[in-house]
Amino acid sequence: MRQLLKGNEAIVKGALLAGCRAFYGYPITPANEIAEAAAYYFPRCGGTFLQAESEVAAINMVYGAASAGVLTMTASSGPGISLMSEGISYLAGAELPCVIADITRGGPGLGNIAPEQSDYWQVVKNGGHGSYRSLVLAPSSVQEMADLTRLAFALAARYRNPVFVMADGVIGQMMEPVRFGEPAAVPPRPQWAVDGTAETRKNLVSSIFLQPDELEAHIGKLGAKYAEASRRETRLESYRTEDAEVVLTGYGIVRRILRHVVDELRGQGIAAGLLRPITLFPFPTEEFERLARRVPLFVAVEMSTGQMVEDVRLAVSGRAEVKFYGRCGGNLPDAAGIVEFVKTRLGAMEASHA
Amino acid sequence: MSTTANPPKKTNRIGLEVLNYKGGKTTLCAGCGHNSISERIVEVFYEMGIHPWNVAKFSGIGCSSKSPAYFLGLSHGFNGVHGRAPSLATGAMLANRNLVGILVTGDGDTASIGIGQYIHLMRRNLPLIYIIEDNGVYGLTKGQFSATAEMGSKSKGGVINDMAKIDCCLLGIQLGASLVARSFSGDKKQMQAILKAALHHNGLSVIDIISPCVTFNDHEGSTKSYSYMKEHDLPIHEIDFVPHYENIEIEMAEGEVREVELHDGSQIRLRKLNRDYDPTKKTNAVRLLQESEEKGEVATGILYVQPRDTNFFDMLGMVDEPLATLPESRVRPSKESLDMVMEELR
Ligand SMILES: Cc1ncc(C[n+]2csc(CCOP(=O)(O)OP(=O)(O)O)c2C)c(N)n1
Ligand code: SF4
Ligand SMILES: [Mg+2]
Repeated sequence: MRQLLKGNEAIVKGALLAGCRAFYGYPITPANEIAEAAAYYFPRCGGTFLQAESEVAAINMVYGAASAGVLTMTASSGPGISLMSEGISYLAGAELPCVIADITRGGPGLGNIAPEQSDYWQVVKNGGHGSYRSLVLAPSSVQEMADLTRLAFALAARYRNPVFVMADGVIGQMMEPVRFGEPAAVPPRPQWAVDGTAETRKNLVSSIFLQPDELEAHIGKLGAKYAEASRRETRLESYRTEDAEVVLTGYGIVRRILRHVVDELRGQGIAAGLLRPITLFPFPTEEFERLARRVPLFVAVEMSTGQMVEDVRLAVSGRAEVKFYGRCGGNLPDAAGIVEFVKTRLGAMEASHA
Repeated sequence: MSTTANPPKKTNRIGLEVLNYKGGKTTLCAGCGHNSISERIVEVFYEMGIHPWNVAKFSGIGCSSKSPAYFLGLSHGFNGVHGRAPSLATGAMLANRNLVGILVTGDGDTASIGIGQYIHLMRRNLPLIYIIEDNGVYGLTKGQFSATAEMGSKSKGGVINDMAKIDCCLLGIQLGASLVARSFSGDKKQMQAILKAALHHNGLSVIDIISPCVTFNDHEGSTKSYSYMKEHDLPIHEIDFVPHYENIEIEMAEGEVREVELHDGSQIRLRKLNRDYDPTKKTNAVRLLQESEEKGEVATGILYVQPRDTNFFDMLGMVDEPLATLPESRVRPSKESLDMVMEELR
C-alpha cells in the first residue's frame, strides 16, 4: 500500500519502522513536521517524544538515550544543527549511535527558511571539534526519506556513530507516494550500553582519554571505523555515465533536476551522464576517480556557492576539469541554465584543444 | 479665494511628531497582541520625548522579535540570534552606554532556548527595558507550547500542557531585576504607564506582557487568550507616572496612593485598587505572584520596583563616555601602563 505524505513525515515513519523509540527535538522551519509527526506517532508506538528547551538540550537528551542503548534521533535545520555540534562531537567521541535529520535552509546566520545546500561543510566535514566524522545520507525523494532513514539507523548501530539524513527543504516539504517496508524488530540492547544492571556496571561510555597515547589510539580506532565505512557503505546512483563525455553531479533535489538535464543534453546530441552521491560521507571517491580516467569534464551543481564540488575536485584530482554551477538564497538551479552552462563549458574546452 | 492655514503640527517636547516614532507596516497577523504593544511603544516614546536615533532595539527570533521593525523606524535595530538577545544587548550597551536600550522578545525566545542568558541578565542591573511578548506558544513555528504555558492549558490541537510554567516575573524578582511588571496587551493605559516608569528607571526593567496569539492560542482552554485575560486579569493598582521635568499635582485622597520616587526624581504613583500593595518589598511580590497563581488570577501592574542610584555601568567602574566614541588618545594605553606590562613580562 502506498501512502501520500511529506518528506518530513516519511522520516518519522521510517524511524519507527527501524525501531527508533526516542525522539527529542526543538521546533524550527523547515523541519517542524518531523517533530510534529514524532509527537503524534512515537507515544502511540510505545516510544517517547520530548520537546526540548533548545537544540543544545535535544542533542544531549539524544546523548543520554543513546548511552542507555536506545535507538534515538533528533531533527533540525542549520541554526539548530550549529547548536548541536558540540553534542555530536561528544556522541562520536563516545561512539554512540544516533540519527540526526537535517532539513537544510538558507544561511549564514538567520538566512531564510527557503531551501539551500549550504550546510554540506557543516554536516559532512563536521561542525564540531575533533577528529570524527558523521555518516551522511542524502535522499532525493520522499521514498528515500523513509528508506535512507531506516538505513541510517542500521549504520548508526553498526558503526556506533552519529548518522545524518540530510535533505534540503524541498525534499522535506514536498509530498509523494511512499511504500513502507515491514518493521524491523526493535534490536536487543547492545552489549556496550548502560542499562542499570550489575552486568552493565562495568560499561564505560566516555569521550575522555587523558593520556596522549590513549587518545591517539582512540582516534585511530575511530579512523579505522570510518575507513571501513568508506569501503563498505559508499552508495551512489549512476545514470547514463558509461559513455558520457560530461558527468553532472548533485544530490538532493538537484539530482532530480540533473536527470532531466542529462536527458535534455542527450536529446541535443551531447553524451551527458549523472553521478549522484547517495552517501556524502563516505563520498563515492572511487567512482569519480574511475570516470575521471575517461571523462574530460565534470559539472557539480549545488544550491550553494560550491561545497560538495571540493570533494569532487579531490576525487578527480586534476585528471579532468571540474566546473561548478550553483544558485543560493533559496533559488533552485534551473534546467535550461544548466544545459547552457554545460554546452558553453564543452565549447570552451573544444576551442582550447583545437 | 480664501486659504485655510494648516493647523500647527502636534509635537512633543523635543519637537518631533508622532510620525517620527512609527515603524514599518506590520506583517504580523491582524489582531496579534504584539501589534498593540508596538503601538504603545510608539505612543510612549513620543510622549516622553525620547530621541529616536538614540534608541537601540534588540530582539531574538520569533513573531515578537520581528516587531521592532514596526516601531521607532528612526532607531537602531538589532535582530539577533534565537534566545541570545540579552547577551547582544549587554555587549552593545556596554560598548555605548548612551543608548536607550529596549529589548522585545517572546516567551519561547526567553523562557526556553534563552533562559540561561535571561537569568544572567537579571543579575546585572543593566539599564534596559526587557519586554516579553508572552503568548504561551511559539507563534512563528506554528503554535507549539512554550515554557510559560500554564499547566492544564489546552493547545489548538487539543493537547493538554502537563508541565509547570516558568514565571519570568518571579524569576526576575528573585534574581535581582530592579523593576518587574506584568501587563496585558489589551490594557492600553497600564502598559503606557509601566513603559514610562521603565524609561526612567536606572536599571533593568522586565515587563512580561500577555499578548494573545490569535492564530494559534486564542481558543477556549487557552490561558493566554483575549477572553481568558478579560476574565482573569487583576490589576493590583492604577498607575500614574510623573516625570521629573513635570510638576503635576494629582488629586488623590490621603492613604489611597503610594508614591515611589525614582533616582531622577520622577514619581510612580500607585492608586490602591482592591488591596494595599507595596511593590518595593520583594516578599510582597513573590507572595502576590504565588497567591494569584493559586487563585487562577493574573496579577498585573508594577509587581516590584527597587529604585537604584547605581547601575551596571557604575558597578563595572566604566568611564562616563561611551566606549564606542572614546577618542584614540584615551584608548591608547599610557606609557606608564605599557611599561608596567613589559616589566611583568620580563
Ligand atoms: C537555533 C534556532 N532554533 C529554532 C529556531 C526556530 N524558531 C524561530 S522562532 C521560534 C520560537 C518563537 O517563539 P516566541 O519567542 O514565543 O515568539 P512568538 O513567535 O510566539 O512571538 C523558533 C523555535 C531558530 N530560529 N533558531
Ligand atoms: S502567529 Fe500568532 S504570534 Fe505570530 S503574528 Fe500571528 S498572531 Fe501573532
Ligand atoms: Mg511566543
